[in-house]
Amino acid sequence: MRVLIVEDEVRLARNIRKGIESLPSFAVDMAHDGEDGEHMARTNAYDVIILDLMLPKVDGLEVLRRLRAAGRLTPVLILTARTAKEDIVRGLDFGSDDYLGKPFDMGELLARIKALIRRSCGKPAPVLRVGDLEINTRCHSVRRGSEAIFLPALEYRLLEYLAFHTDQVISKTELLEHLYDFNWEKFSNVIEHYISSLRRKLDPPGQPRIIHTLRGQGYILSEQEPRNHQTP
Amino acid sequence: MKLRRLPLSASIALLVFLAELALLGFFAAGVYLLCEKQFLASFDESLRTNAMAIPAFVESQEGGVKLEMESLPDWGARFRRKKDPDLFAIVDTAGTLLVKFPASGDLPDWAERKEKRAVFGDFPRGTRNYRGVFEPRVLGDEEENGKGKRRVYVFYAADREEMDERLASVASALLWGAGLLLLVSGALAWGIAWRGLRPLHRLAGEAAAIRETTLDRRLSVRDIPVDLEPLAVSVNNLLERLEKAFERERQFSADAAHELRTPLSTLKSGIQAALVCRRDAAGDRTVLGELLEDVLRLEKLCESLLVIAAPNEKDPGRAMPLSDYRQCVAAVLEDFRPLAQLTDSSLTLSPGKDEPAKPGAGEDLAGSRQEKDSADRGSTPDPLVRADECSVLQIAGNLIENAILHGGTGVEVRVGIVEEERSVTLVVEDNGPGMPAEDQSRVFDRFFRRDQARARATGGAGLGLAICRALAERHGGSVRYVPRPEKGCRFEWVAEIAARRKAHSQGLKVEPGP
Repeated sequence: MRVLIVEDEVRLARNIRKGIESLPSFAVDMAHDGEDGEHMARTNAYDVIILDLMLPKVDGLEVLRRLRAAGRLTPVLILTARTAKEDIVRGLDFGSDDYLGKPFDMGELLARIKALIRRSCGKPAPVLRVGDLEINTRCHSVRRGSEAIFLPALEYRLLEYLAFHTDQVISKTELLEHLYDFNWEKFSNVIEHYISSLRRKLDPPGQPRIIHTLRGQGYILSEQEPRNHQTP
Repeated sequence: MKLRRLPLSASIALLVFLAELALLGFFAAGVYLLCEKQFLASFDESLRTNAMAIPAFVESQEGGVKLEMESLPDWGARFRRKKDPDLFAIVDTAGTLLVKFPASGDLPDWAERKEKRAVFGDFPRGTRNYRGVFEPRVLGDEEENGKGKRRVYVFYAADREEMDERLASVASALLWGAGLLLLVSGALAWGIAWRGLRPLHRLAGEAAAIRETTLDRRLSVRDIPVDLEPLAVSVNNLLERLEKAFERERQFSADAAHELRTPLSTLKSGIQAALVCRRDAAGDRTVLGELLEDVLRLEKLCESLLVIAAPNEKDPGRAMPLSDYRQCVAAVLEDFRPLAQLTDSSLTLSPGKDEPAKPGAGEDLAGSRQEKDSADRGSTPDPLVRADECSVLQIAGNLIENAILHGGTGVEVRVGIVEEERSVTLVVEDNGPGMPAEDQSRVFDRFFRRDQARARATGGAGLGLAICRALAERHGGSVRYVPRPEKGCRFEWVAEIAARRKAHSQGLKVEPGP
């Protein structure tokens, strides 16, 4: 999952980034004014945008309005010092999905981000299940059947992304977009490497496979074999 | 309860009551006296008439002294009364009693007689009060029988209590009437005063209903008596001022809270981020450093807020120390040189218009910071302003910092000191982009920032100029923005000169001026 923080207070943005990155699920980008924020939100695929309102160059609400006008559905959480009822109502009416006043609690912010992602993926339960694979997004633990599986952060991030989009074909490009922040060198073979590592851990021989490769299209996390997607 | 603490209606009623008491008292006393005089006069008149009639009556009796009660004429019926009959007697000039009725009893001791006129007198008889008269008369008719004249005094007296009773009834009628009138008019006065004071009560009710949350309400000025209007209007003006002051304070608190929120959330998120991150020693140190930075920023903001929120002195500059204006400005200039270099700006101290040019004065002054007291400052006596050095440094510093930061890279900032007889003005000019007209009126407002981004980057909260103004006014001076016809901004700080001193009067180093 990839998060964009649009916040002019550089130190605060860094702190939020640190907080979010303490969870294995997230890659974080930052923008420090409205113009940059809008540009980044339009050119990259984000799963959540955290938006300050009082931004230099372009006001936060204007950024939000433009994004929604451009048809962007990315969940937006407004994080601002303006906490009057009218401000909250206006922010939500402009198309934001959540509103949090400063000074905020980091735990609350992280919980809200996770909730926004669950909601936008149509999977409100905190525990994702695919067959006998169980991914607990609350404590970031993975188990298959009765066996707990330890995954490094990036492998977990990849698996969680696939699990949020079960039964959908996810291309390598999409994975690269959503799993890495802006500063990362993106090579598609990294994905292949992680997928094979995940397979080793999650699909031991003798059990039904749940991570499937569709050659030339991408990957799919599913209980069933994806017949209709298979290429000849 | 003191008289002046009585309800207004009651005291009005009381005053009306007292005034009427005095007036009616005079009136009633006058009427009573008039009645008494009138009654007495008619009583006396009848006494005299009777006294006149007595000799003729007596003479008509044979022998002159024998009196047959039964033969008395009709008017004499009063003599025949058993109780309290009228009395009469005739006495000659020698005092010999000629005739007396009734025969028993003496004449009253009061017996003053005058030859020319009647003498009246009161005396008790038994339980009754009598009034009598001695009337001088001449008896006998010369022409008829030539018996010769006889001078006598006719005494006639009658019970006066009937008259007294009538007088008493007049008095009591007067008393009752006046008392009733007093009571009624007092009550009326009370009622009228109470009714007249109703608009006042209404105003008081309206004023009492205004709470701190409803300061926008006003007393209704329409439909009140004209003489209450000034009161209502001045209360309304007071409310207006109160409302504005409340609004200002509320706005300030809201702004302050809002400004505190940003550094607070940075601080909080920093701590929480540090808590959720894996720890390592080097990371801890950087985190602590950053947190300290946040705390310092909060501290600075709090200090600024305190400076602004401090009330202005009633008596500006009374207990303030004196500060050397030039020294302070020079110190500030030196302070900002690094910043000016960093932004490629030039910072120069130009001599004031009224001053002869002193080449290199800026550098000399700037260099004197470490050894202020021994610096050579030329022959002009140094102006001293009544303000603590801290304030002078802060005002000058804020103005110069603003000029450097808002002027942009490469700005030329000129600082000048213009001295006049009584005041000294610090002029800070720059050739930066200047200020749009709509910002000029708001530039001294608290939390006013012309550019969010730049202010955030420099950590400003939009309080610099507000602090300047607050401090300058606290010392009896003023700060203003002067529009420049050419590019850039010009700020002027005018301060009163409290005293002057020559460089050598500091007692440290005596040096003749160049």
